[in-house]
Amino acid sequence: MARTYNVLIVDDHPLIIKAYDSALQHISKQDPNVNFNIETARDCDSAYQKITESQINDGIDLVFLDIKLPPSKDGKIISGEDLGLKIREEIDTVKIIISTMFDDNNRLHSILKNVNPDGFLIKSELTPDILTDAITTVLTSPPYYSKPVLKLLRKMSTTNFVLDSIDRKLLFELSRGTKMKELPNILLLSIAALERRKRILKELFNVVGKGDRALIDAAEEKGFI
Amino acid sequence: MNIIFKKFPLSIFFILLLTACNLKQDESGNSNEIRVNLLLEDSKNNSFDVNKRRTKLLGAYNINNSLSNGTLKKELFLKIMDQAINLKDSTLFKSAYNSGLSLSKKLNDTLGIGESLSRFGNYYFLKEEFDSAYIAYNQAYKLFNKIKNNYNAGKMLYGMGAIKNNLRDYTGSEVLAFKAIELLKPLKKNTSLLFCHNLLGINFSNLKEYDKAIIYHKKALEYASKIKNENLYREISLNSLGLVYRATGNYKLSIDYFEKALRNTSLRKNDTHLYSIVIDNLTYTRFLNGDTLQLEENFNKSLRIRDSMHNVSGVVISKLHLAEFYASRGDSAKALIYTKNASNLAKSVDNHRDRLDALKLLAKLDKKNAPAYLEEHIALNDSLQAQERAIRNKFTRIQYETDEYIEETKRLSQQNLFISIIGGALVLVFALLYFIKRQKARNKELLLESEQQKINQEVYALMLKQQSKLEEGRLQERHRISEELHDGVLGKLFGTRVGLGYLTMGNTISDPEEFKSYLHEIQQIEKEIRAISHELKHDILISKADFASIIEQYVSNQSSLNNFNYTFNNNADLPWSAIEDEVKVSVYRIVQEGIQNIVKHAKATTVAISFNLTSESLHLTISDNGIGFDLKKNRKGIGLKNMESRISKLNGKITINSIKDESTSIIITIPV
Repeated sequence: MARTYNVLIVDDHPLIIKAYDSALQHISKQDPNVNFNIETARDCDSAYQKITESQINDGIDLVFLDIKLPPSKDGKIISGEDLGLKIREEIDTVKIIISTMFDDNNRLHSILKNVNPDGFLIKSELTPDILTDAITTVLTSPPYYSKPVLKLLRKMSTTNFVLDSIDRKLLFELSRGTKMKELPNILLLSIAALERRKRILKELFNVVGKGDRALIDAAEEKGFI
Repeated sequence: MNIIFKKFPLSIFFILLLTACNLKQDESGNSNEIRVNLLLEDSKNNSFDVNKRRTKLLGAYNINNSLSNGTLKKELFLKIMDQAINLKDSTLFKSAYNSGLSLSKKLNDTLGIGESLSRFGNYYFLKEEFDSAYIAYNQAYKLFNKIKNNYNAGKMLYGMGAIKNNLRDYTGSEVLAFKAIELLKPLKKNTSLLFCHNLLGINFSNLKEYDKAIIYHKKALEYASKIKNENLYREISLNSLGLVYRATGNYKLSIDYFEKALRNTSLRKNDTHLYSIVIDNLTYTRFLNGDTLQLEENFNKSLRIRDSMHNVSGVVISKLHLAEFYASRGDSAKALIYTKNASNLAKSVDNHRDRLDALKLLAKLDKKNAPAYLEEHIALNDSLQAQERAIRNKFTRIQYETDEYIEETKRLSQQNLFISIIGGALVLVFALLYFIKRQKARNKELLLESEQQKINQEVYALMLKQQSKLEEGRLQERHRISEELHDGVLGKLFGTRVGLGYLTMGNTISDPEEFKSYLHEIQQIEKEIRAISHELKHDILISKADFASIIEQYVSNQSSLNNFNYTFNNNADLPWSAIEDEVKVSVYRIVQEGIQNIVKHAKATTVAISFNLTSESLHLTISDNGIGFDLKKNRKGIGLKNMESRISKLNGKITINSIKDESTSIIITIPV
């Protein structure tokens, strides 16, 4: 049974758009029953416009979403992550494949939690075969996650505690070498509160009485950074 | 009468005492000295007659004059003086005295001057010119006192006491004798102490305080027993005691003492004079006691001895005693003859006191002429008293002068103390002022140093700021490049890789046109990477300019503030970062100082600053076209001094050239 998918590719690089395009065409060449109706957008504004327009038309089945995108003019949508949230708000049936260059756990976790993508691809991992496999998997039985994402998920599943976004940001900033003195401006919490959080984190990671480095090492090992 | 009895033995021993200390002899020396000593010995030889002895002494004096050793010469002069006194040679004494005194003065020898003066006193004492003697003793006393020579000072006091005693100022004499004892007692000079006590005894007996007189004479006797060498001091004291007891009417004891004195068999041989006195005294006492045995013989024996010695005063006394003896026997004619004879003799030798006694006796014997004799007696007595009074007044004056002198000395010493205290205080104050000044200077220096430190810190901070700014800029640039790589190049590469992958999926190139476009794309990526790499290089290049840019910024700020044009030249073979911060700070400060000077003084319109940095040294030239200054005339200001001290700390060199109304340039070279 032939099926036509409305696809929106959002990426600022024409070459990448072309690469996805090639991949989709390759799939439709392999399986004549599958056809793709491809739209492209190179920035947040046009992407968002395409999405709202598609509501009127046939809707969108699949979105390829890059994380690093030129932000919208009004400054409300600054990354693919934000755009993903918007898309989820607008169309609940849509399948989202995130593809990104980023591979740090913090970012990955944030994206997983916020966008809950059907496909999560790390660009450096991708080969044409993997990409083909990923797209077909997402279309038939999602999700498809790249190896780094799977690794992260595994790590997280073995950890029996949950960190909120502030804890994660705190760890992230600490790992970047940000000073405690500067943190209140970044995380909008008082130093005392941050110190308390840090203490609790040290308890969680079982590094009580050791320095921040030990905390960061432990957090990295557990996949929080 | 008693006075005469006592005076003569006293005088002789007194001289002996005063000269005793100078008899030490120095046998070493040249032949002339030995000759002087030999001649002196000859002059002392009793077996020669007086004239021969005087000639020998004159010879000694003449040879001594040619000696060269000053101190020795002085000692010998003193000996010659003593001997001249002994030989009663006035001319020679005066010559020796004058030579000795002037020599001592030349040698600045206070002791010698004092000793010469004391000899002078002795000389006049024997001549009975008591006022001259007193003055000389007094002067000598002052000198001895000044150099704290207590022995000689004590002797001088004794001499003055003896003079006062002679002039019947017994209390004055007593005071002086006590003073002398005070000085001499700690020195244990037994002979001198003996004489002082003897003098005291005589004084008290004259004051009719016989108990005291006995006490002091007995003390004198004690001292006499302490003196080991052969002498007749004991006999003198015994004679004195005899006289005192006679005066108290205790004739028995008196006779005992005189006989005790005569028990010394050597008395007659060694001191015939004293022997004659003691015999006379003994006989007279026995006469007073009512004895009759051998009185006339003994009186005559004494008279004969005295006569043979040409002792006129003694003869007078003997004759008076004989006259009394004859008068008591009722032989008034003989008594009168002896008395008249004695009176005339006394008159002939100016022995006024004995003459008074003679006149008194005459009045008693010659009832007819008694009023005339009494009148003469009174007149003589009055004139004598007047004379004595005059001399005593003189002494009082001298004493007063001495007191004044002592007072003056006291005042001067007080003044000295005062001056030294003030001086000390002044020194202290000056020292304090000096320290305060030094402290102030040090404080100032420290302040200056801390100020410089502060300035240095500012410059460091400036450099650090620049550094961090630069670092920040570099970081931003790196971020930018990294993002560019991440987003641009990586994205494109990814796209191309995947695109090419799809293109070649079926082992053949499905679309050659598209393949070409991918190749083109890769070429684009190449270009992009090249561009980024260029940017990276550029980024490093900017960092080269860092320190010079700080300087340039400073100069440009100053130029816009103070309206001058500037040229800035930076020829750096090395990156500035290779230069030590210390050097950079100094260079910055020097440029600041230089620019400040130009702004303040030079009235320049153009300033040129140029750096030349090689691997060996850093050259800095600051030149302007201002009015210049005279390098020789102008004292270096603190600015130039600072520059120099900074440069010298860095082992650098600074040269300043200035042409009046044309230009000034400062050239600095610092080894790197």
